[in-house]
Amino acid sequence: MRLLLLILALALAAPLAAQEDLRLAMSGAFQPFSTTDDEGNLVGFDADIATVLAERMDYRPVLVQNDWAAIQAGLKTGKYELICGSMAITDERLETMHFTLPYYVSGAQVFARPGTSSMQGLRLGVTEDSTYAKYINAHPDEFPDCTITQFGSEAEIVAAVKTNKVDAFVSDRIVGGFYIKKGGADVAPFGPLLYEEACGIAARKDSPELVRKANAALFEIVQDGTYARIYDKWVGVEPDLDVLLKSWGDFQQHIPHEAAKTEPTEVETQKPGFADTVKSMLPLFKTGAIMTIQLSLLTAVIAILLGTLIGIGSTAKNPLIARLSQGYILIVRGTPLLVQLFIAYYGLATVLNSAVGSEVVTAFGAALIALVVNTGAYNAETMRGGIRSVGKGQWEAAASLGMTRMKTMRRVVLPQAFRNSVASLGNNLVVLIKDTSLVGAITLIELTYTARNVVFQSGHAFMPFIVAAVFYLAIITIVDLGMKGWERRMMRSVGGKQAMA
Amino acid sequence: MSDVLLQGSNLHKRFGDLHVLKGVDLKIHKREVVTLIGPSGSGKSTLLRCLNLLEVPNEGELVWNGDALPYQRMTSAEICAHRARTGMVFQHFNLFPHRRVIENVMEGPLTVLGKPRGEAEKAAHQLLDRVGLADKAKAWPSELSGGQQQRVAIARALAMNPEVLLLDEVTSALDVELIAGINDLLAELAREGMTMVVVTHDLSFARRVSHRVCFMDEGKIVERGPKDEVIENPQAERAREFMAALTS
Ligand SMILES: Nc1ncnc2c1ncn2[C@@H]1O[C@H](COP(=O)(O)OP(=O)(O)OP(=O)(O)O)[C@@H](O)[C@H]1O
Ligand SMILES: [Mg+2]
Repeated sequence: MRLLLLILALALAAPLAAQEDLRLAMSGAFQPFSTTDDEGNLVGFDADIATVLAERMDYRPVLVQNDWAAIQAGLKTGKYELICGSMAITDERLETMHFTLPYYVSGAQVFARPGTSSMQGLRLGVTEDSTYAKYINAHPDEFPDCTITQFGSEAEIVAAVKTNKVDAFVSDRIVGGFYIKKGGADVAPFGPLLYEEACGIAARKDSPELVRKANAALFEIVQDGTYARIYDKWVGVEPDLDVLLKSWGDFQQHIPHEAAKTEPTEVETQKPGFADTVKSMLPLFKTGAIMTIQLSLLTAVIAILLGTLIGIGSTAKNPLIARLSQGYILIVRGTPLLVQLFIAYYGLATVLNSAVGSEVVTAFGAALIALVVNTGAYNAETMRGGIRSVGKGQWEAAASLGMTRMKTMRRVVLPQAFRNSVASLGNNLVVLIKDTSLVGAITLIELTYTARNVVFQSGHAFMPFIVAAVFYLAIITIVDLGMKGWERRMMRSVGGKQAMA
Repeated sequence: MSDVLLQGSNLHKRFGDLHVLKGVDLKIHKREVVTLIGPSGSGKSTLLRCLNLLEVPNEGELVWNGDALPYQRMTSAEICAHRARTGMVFQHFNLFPHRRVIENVMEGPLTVLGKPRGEAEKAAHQLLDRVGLADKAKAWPSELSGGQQQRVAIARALAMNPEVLLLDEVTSALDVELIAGINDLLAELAREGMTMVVVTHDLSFARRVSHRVCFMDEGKIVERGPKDEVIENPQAERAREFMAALTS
């Protein structure tokens, strides 16, 4: 009996004690490979494969969700040990990472509306930073006169197809098929595969041992049928194992013995000096910085006008105007800017564009509308306070001269309201500038989005964000100085003393 | 044509349940200075503000220069026009703090009367000279003493060339040594024939400048007459007590 207990205890304790965590990353935004369930757990083909492989390698699997654009950076900085996230094996990626043998093979496929006859002039959607995006860029002749829009995920592309922002999209054959099956979008495969692509599990260059173990585990699950079961569960068909095995041969020929032989190397150190790195990145930020400045300035000017109008409206004698203005402030301040951006882009822009029959509201237009509406509400609330703080005596003095309400508002109350509000208006402006970082969500390339791109391109995990931060700081400092100057100008009439009512 | 400039008959004013003016009759002749005296809360300011329609009465008649003022039916433009010809000066000056002294004086002529800038500026300089502030034209209101600010307020009202000046306790917020200066200025205006309705607690000023005095109590004028009679020898009980308290 005792012996039995001892054996039982050992049997239970041994694996627990021995097991270390193995962290595997995926985007969670790539159905059916990785997505999240109702409780936020990562599920999908990649998730199941990652879990099974880790267990076979004698680790405790820990699945990590990481934004796709920064997924390589996370690997480099040690946030996780492996990327098991449908990453296609490419020469470029092989330079900075190790890959296991392919764990599935798919390919790039154009999906277009039924009846499409040629690629000519199509509006194409594609996920940002994907191999498809790079392929399109590198083969412009295959996509004559096509306009390309980048999206954060396949889910957003499907929304864009449904709201007629794009005519077609390029994605993985399996993923595209998955969405068509879901009945989400009215598109079908168009033409042959653009190219075949094999996905592998990526590891840092300093962990060849992990790659070897993962390869062994992969081999095991393909042999014992676990792989086929998982594939069938998520893709809906049996895997073509011949294709998979052929890809293993191709891979080993392509980089003979590399996966098995590489010596451990240091974690990649950033060889070029700090200043050189930053200098080489700066040109990449030009477009983004211009976009951020453009959006900020345009919004600032329009939102001050709108805020003033609504601020006046909210103090109006007419109860309808007052209610409407106050309702506007309440609704806009009570909802997140990101939601407003999506509504402007997928809702308002779509409705207007289809009503007019041409693209009158671009992504930039939608962003401008959302930012103006949002900042306008904050400015309106500020101006409302500013107007309220002007004493009754001022109204009476103006009225006793025979000035109308409008004239009094314009000549007497508003100038003082501005003077009282200029500091908080400046504050709203600073918030606005930082909020422009959200417009990347509706495909506009601004500073933050650029930084994410540069992370992806350069492999520097955080430097690009530092550069972006410095840009923001510079823009905000300049705006702040401007506002302080305006404030000083306005305050000169008060001197040191407080003016009498 | 009679020489009555402004007449109110049976004026009533309520603020919600508060009945502030309870049937006031008042006649103001041209070139006349009428003083309103009475305890706090008796409705003096409200009456004054009804005369230039800063408050709209609930009941009663207003007659301007022989013509009825149908205040219930007047457009806001007509109301503004009436206010423009009746100047008002407040206890707390109410200068526009964001405008320089000269701009305060020019504001009415420029924006209400539509005078050309040059003309308005010239007139404003003359008025500032008149109230003894020629050197403060470019100053900000916040840089002036209370007495100086009140002079600017008087100049601002005069710039509209009003036919009557309504003054509501214009010296009450001032230090004693500044009061005399303002009183001298007002006395001079009176001598020149400016019609004025003056609310004040300053009996010596009332004696010196006004022609007639009205004593108000609880929303009514309870005693009225030549200044000597009302101030020195009031008949109404409340008026007697009040004068006694003020003189002691
Ligand atoms: N806009 C208003 N809303 C409500 N009540 C008011 C308003 N204006 C004046 N009142 C009330 O009407 C009454 C008379 O006020 P009014 O200012 O006319 O008195 P007054 O005789 O000028 O007093 P004082 O000598 O203190 O200035 C007071 O009880 C006051 O609180
Ligand atoms: Mg009063």
